[in-house]
Amino acid sequence: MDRRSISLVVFAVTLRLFLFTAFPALPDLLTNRVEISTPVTSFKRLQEGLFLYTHGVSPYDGGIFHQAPLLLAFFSNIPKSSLVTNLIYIFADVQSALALIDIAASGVSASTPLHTSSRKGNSLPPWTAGAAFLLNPFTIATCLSRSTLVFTNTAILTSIAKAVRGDSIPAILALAMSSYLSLYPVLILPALVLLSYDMQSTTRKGKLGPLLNYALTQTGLFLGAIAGLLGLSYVITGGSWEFLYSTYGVHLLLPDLTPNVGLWWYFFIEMFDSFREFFLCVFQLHLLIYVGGLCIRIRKQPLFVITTILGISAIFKSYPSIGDTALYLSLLSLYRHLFPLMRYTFFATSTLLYASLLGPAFYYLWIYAGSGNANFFYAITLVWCLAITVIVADALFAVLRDEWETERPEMRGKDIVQI
Amino acid sequence: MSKTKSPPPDTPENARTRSLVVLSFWSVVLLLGLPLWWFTTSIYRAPLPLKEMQSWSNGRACRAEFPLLVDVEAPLLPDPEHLLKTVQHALDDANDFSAHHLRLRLARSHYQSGGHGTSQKSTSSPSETQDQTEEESVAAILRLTPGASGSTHSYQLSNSSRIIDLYYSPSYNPSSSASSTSLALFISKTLMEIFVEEQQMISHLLSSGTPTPPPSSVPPGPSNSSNGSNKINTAEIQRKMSRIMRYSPTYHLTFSMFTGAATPASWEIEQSIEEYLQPLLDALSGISNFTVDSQIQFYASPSPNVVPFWEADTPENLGDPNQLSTGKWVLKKEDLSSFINSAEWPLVSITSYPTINFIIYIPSPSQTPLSISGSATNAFLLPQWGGVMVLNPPNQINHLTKADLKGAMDIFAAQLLSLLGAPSHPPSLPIRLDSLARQRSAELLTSASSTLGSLYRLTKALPSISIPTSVSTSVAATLQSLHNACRELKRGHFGGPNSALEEGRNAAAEAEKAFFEKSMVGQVYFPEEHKVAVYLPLMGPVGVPLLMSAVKEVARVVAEWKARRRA
Repeated sequence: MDRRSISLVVFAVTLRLFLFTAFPALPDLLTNRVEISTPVTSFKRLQEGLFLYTHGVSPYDGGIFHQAPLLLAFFSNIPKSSLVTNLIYIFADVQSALALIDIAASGVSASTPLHTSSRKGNSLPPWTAGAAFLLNPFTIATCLSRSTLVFTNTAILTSIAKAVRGDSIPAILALAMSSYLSLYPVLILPALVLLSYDMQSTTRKGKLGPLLNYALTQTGLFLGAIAGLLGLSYVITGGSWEFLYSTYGVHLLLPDLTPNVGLWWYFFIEMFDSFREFFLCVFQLHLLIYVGGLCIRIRKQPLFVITTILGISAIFKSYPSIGDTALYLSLLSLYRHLFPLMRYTFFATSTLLYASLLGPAFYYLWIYAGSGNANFFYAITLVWCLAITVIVADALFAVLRDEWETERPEMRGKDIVQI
Repeated sequence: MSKTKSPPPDTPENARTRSLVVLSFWSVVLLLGLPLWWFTTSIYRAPLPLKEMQSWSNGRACRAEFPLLVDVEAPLLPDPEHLLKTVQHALDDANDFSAHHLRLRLARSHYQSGGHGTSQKSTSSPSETQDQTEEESVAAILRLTPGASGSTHSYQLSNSSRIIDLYYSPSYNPSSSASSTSLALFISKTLMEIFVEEQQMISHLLSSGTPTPPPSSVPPGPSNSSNGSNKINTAEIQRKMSRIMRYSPTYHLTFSMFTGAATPASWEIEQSIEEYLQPLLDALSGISNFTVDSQIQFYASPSPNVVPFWEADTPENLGDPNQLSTGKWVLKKEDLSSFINSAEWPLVSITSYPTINFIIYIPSPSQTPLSISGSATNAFLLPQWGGVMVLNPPNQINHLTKADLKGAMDIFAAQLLSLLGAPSHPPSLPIRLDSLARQRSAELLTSASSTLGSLYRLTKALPSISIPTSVSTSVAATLQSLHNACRELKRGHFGGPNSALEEGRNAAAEAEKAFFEKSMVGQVYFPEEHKVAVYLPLMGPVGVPLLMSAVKEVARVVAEWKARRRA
């Protein structure tokens, strides 16, 4: 780790500590923002669940708490001081940033064993990826709100960092942890297996079997880890499987229609009751449908597949928040060398800024001032999702174009037309 | 890009990748999407006994019958059987509504007891009736005794028993056919008179229950029958029906005292209800249960647009201003309908079952005495709502005793009976209550049947509505109860456990449950065309790219295959 990275981390930690101490009301304010805290990540709900748990009541009884039981066990065993809690969240952020710096340092974004970008030289130094994560206002807000999404993100980034190094077992275990915490990271499992297979095949040539066997082993390991975590949760919650419905059931069935930056809540408020199940299936399958196609099409760059799937789930998952977008954007910063190929950067950036400024305003108009209605906020979340969609699609285009140019260097810089 | 340059050929590797990508998308759609679509949108329709439901709603499944058994005690009559036969004939001839008919039977007790004294009448009747209900309930007991010499035929009915005392003229001679016919006619006329009101009500109920009730085709109304005592016409019945509360197994009674000033501040309502009303409520408990509460509201005024006017007592007092106080305040009859000040009087019910309100209104001293024009009781009844009585206690009285409230309670008892639908005619309470039970059975039967009919039409009209299993179990329970109720009616078992009334009650409750099933109610308002709106957003943006890519891929594969065959 170079000096710049260290000073970045020190700065980021100081900034967070400063915000925590200088504005004591800020964390609670952010905790109550629907854009930052969702029913499945809210710190307030975690405290509610913690209270019930420490008082011997099932935390899942009240229909408030929808987070993993291990979080309860963890938070009930640390000292009850806000400083310790804050430090834990800051540490998780730092760990995420270090993982990102690791990923960036490996250079996988520009050159994988199967593909080397022609624009490899344009990459930024590793610490910038850490900066893109640590200094992103969305990340800071998520950290200050003490959303448990922070832990999910840390687990995802750690898992990717391990996979990039070729340590497949820790990678799978970290992914199992993040899937255990918030279900949707399970979507990146195929891409992660591909990534660690590619990286391992370079370091240990010839020793690795065919991809299919490898994938099956890793999937088995993943399922084993998940089973272990669920079993542990079963023990923690006092021998009841009730938590399954209250955590993953909530992700899948969307019983809580609290507004968030995603597209689900409004849609399912308006939905005819008899079609609710059907559209729940449609929405969940929609997330799943991209996985296979992306893994096949961009087989040469599994890290980008992971990035894109994370971006897609930041738009289309049942309870998204700006923390998911922060994760996607910071992973996207690894592809800095492809930014010149993107066509709508200005449009996407300004749309994102527009949505993030007007979102709170419209929410205020709807909930507090009463001069707007739900459509105001929903319109803004549509714009927000549109911005991320444009970025995802544009980045996808840039990567494909880059692959194509690597294949046909003579076409570099020329316009393309679809045939 | 120059147009002369042709696009570079697709590499086989690229083509393969593209096929795989398309395949991966389609495999999710076909392997997961289609089964889930099938599973989540298939409509479950629990089987319903449609034919049976329809026949019930048409009134074809059960011809409701109300056979009323009348025991005849004729200890001193020489040839009672013959007389009964004649009377039965006369009754059958005069009866034009066959579902409701009277059946005479010579009482067993006739053989056991020689001559009952009139003093024993009231004490013996409860045990007697209890004995009877064990095998078959008896609607009334007709006791034939010779009257005082020189008198004509007459009858007498006490308030508290179902014994009809009929005194025949001592000049009755069983061997003379004229004398016998005259007595038979008198008996049949008496019985018809006692039960005519109930008969009319039931005939009205049964006819209005059928789905096609042209009002003109109401079974030949007793109004045009030859019998002179049947004076009540259809309009009268309609009026009576309109004031009856909908049947419920439980009613809530609210007794409220609204005083125009601060006095009286208390009333002995609990004791009054206990003493004057509870016996009636106990008697009614076979039909409905009651819960009771009471309240007092001070400085309560009737609706602001109800203004009583001052009416001096007698014309000669008009000239003397000092004598004005002997007049009274009078409420006009037209004002009574708006008398209740629903904005200010706390009369909102919090129970799930219907509430019947009874209000004692005590005007403020400045408006005392207040009376209702043309009303002897100073009380009025609000249809399907309750009763109101205006009470004028002596000035500045602070406490209303049981005695003060007795009059009001008597009126409320009468109002309660008429709100519940008991016939007003025969003075005997047991007979009226039996009548009420029969009426309510008929009402429940028709309402359950017509609810079944509605459910039947609903399921026919909306083929895409899903029918949960709970509906079919409820329908089965309804049919079972209806069947039992019909059987019990035929057997003449109207009140008590497992009676027609109870079965009818179950039937009505189950039918309501089936019809108002939560998941079905919402779908009633979901037209088929809305499905286009549901599927179009899905089919448009998602379906079109999927389909187009599949078509392209298939076309490519076909072209390749053709090219290979040509080569």
